[in-house]
Amino acid sequence: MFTKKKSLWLFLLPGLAGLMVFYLVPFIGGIYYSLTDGTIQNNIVGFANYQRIWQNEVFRLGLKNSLELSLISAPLIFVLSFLLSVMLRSLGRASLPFRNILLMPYLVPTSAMLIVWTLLFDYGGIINRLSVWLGAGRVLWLESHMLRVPVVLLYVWKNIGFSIIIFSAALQSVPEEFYEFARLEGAGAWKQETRITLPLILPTAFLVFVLAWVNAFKIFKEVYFIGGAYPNEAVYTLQHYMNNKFAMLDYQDVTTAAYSFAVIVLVLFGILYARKGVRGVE
Amino acid sequence: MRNKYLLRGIVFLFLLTLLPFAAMAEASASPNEDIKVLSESQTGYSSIRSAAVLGDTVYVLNPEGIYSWLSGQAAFTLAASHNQLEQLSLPEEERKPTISILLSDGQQLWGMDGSNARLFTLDISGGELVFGEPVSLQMQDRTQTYETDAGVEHSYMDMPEQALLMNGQLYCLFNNYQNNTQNRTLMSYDIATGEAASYDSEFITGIAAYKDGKLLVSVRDEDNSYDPATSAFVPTALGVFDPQSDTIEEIGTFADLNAGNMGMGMTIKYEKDKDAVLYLIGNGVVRRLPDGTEEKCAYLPTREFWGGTGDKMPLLPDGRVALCVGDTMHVRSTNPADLPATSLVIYGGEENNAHKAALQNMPDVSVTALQNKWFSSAQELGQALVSGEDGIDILFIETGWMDVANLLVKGYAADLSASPVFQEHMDKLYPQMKEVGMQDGKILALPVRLNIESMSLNSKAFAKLGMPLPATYGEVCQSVKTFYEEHAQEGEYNINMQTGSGWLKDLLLSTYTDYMAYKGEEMTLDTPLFRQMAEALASVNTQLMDDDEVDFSNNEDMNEFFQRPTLFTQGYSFDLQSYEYFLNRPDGNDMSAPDMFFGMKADQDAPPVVKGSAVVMIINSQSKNMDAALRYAENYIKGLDALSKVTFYPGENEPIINPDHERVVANFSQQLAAMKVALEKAEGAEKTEMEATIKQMEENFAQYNEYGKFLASTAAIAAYRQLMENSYIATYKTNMLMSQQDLSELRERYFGGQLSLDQFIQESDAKLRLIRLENQ
Repeated sequence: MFTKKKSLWLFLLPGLAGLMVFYLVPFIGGIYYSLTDGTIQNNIVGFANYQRIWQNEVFRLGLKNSLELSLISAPLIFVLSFLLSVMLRSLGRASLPFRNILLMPYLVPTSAMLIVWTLLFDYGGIINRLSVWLGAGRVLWLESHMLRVPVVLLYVWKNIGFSIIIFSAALQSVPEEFYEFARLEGAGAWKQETRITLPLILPTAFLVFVLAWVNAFKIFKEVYFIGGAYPNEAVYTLQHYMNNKFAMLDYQDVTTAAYSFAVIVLVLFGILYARKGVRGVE
Repeated sequence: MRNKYLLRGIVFLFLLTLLPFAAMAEASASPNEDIKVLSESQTGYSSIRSAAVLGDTVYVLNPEGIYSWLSGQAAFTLAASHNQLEQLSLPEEERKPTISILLSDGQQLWGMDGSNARLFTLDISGGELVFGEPVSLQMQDRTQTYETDAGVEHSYMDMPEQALLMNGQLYCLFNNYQNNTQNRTLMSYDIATGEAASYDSEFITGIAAYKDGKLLVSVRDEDNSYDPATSAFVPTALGVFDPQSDTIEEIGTFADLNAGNMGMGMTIKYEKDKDAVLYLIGNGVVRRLPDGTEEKCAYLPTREFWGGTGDKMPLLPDGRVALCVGDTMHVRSTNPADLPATSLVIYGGEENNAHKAALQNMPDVSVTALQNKWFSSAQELGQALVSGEDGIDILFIETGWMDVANLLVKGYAADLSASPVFQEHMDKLYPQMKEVGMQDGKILALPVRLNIESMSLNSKAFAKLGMPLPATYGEVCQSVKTFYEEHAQEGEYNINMQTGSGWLKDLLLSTYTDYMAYKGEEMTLDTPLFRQMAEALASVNTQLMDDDEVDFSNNEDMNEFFQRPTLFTQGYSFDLQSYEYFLNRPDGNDMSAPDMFFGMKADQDAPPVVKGSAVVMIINSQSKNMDAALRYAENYIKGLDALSKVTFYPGENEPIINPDHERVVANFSQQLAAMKVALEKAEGAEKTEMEATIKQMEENFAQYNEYGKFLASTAAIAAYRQLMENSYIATYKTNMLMSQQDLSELRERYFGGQLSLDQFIQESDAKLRLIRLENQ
């Protein structure tokens, strides 16, 4: 006879099987590869790979750039999407077309956008022509350290819409009475948003920040499309390191870098998540 | 009485002892044989042109006559001599007919004279060739005419790609390349009257005699054989052609989409006893059964079935097939059980002499080339080796374009150190070649091919213009400047075989790369030398060079270009065989060809560096056929020809005599004699043209007589050794500046004027630094 518990496991089985095959098994397999020498014989070398890549200047450069880009992009998305959400809330029903416009970039394929971005920031592109017209010189946006600017701009522009959607949903859950009371007490807009809105939507805000940060770590294809496998040092990310190592058949370095990074991210999020307010616990 | 029984017992015992020998003889009679035409010529001139089966005998036609072979014989025997070249020297009334194609209708041998559109019976029973009364074939529509520069019209007859005799008809399949189509035309000719019949049935690519007066045909529209929607070739259909109704009934398709993809149509044969179709594909014969299933049934040691007319795959009475390549007939069983038990898959190889030598010594192994697969990077190749999906056993990889060193470090290559054959090969190599195959003292890759890329120029052209010969990159730039300032307007010379300024820009980077690689230094552009070379390029007006670019798609421009002598002859690589010709050709001949090869110097103090591109052979460490792979590799190394040995081994300095020199000279003489006989009857413009042709032939003959004696002369070997003194072998790492995509884009931007020299150097060095540090 099927009990409730047995039925539960039966229904969960397909999903769990997929999780096992496509997540757990590769995850554990990856750890194994990070402990081998990378030859076809897969000889175990312990933690030698971890020691070696942490001593590698380029790995540290990639890690640093990934963290920097994420620490620039994620707060930008967080702040801008929060502000825009608040503005859209004040418009009421009239905010709908604006919200749709802001969501559009999220739906456009990145490769299509990159072509446009390349045209904009190319040496002979619109931005530089404008710059020359205004009396300034041309900037090597796509070949120099300045590539950070178009990359961050592209990332923010593409992902802000999604964050706005999440914030907008959260803002709707805040009772209007709280703002009425606050206005009656003489609180201005800034106090209302920082003392009422943010604390009440903290779990959602955390989610937005996490998503923005995680996605920011994945800034790679934009840079790869524009700058190739070896872009300027300022935008050489950890993903570049892993991608190039994969191309060189250094699977052990790819997995070592990936797990090193995973540990860092887990620790950071763990610290953030430990704060009560973030978890939504009273 | 007792003695009688004793005697019987002894005889019985004696016969008993013979049994094992009989069994051995039975076992050793291989169903697969390679039969050569033994003639005086060693290369190419005894090539089999056509083959036909009559009864148990296979007859083959070559320029010397008709040879025959019966199963069990070790070689062909000359059935009837018929040296067709000698015939041309005879007066026309004394000449015997030319035989272009040998045919058989099962009862009789036939010959087709393609030049004169005649068909006749052949009788060689008496050891002499007896020609039957020729029948003129109505092939007027297959006559092609052309007019020479002297205004003389010549005509020739199209030769059919395939031909067969059946039911009193000669069926011929003609190509139509002159009409810019890949599709063929089927015609038939009555063998009694020569009357032609044409057919509207289209897209026939191969024919074979079937039954009830019909033909088996393979069908595909060759002009539209590739389907972009599926990124694959359209399957070739199998059909039955009825000449009476001129219709094709399709009965299925061939499973292999590559069937008939070599542009040579399809070779098919009907197997009556199995009601099956045999077809040739790659280096194998496949049997298509009536239910549409297919099985490989024969393995052939080569894919080079380019030539041969008439019946391309004669079927022997015992069910075996015979395919002719060069002077060899490969007789193969079509029983799948007789296929070699072991097979090897090779990626990147070519059918050179060493490969053929290897196959000759291992007929028990089926060696096939990996088809339709191209690995553009070590990553792709590594994944294929790890997954084993292609079953690659042996790889041939060019060191300059794939990261071979990485493959070796990662253990993808088998350790070959134990073999004395490989050890000897490596010990004899140039040190720089040996280095690319070694890792931690182990032999992991065998260098088996080497091309050197030197600079070349036409010194006589320089002398005529009064220009000094350049030795450094700066001097090359100066030569270009001088040319455009003083000589370009005359329009009598070309600066280089390559037009535009691209070659000069590439030369900057390649010369600098070669210099740094030769010195073993880490690549960086931030050096005074590079800046000096870049400034030399900047001093050249490259716009003038780009304005001078020739459109080679325009025939008139192209012809005009090649009429002019050329100063720099990039595109010509140093070649041992051609060296003497290049050096000593008469004045005025081939003024676009070089007469001087040298290494380019980065500056006056730099050595003249020459880049070598090597191909290495690697055995997959995960190969499931390791023993066979090692055998192949050892046979390959042992089978390296004399030219390769001179190229690889600095200790091999004996000149190599051309084994075919005497034969070619004899052929030349015969051809000249034939031309002179024809000249006696010529008149007017035709006579003038023939006289000019004879004069040119005599000059070529004298040239060849002088310089064709050696495949590699003492002088050529000495020149090669000198070039190799300052050579290095290009690797993926040393080629980085020229091949890595990001660096290529930077290069394009710099040459396009978007980056200054400083910016280019800074950005390039940053990328090079990243690449270098990543690997530490």
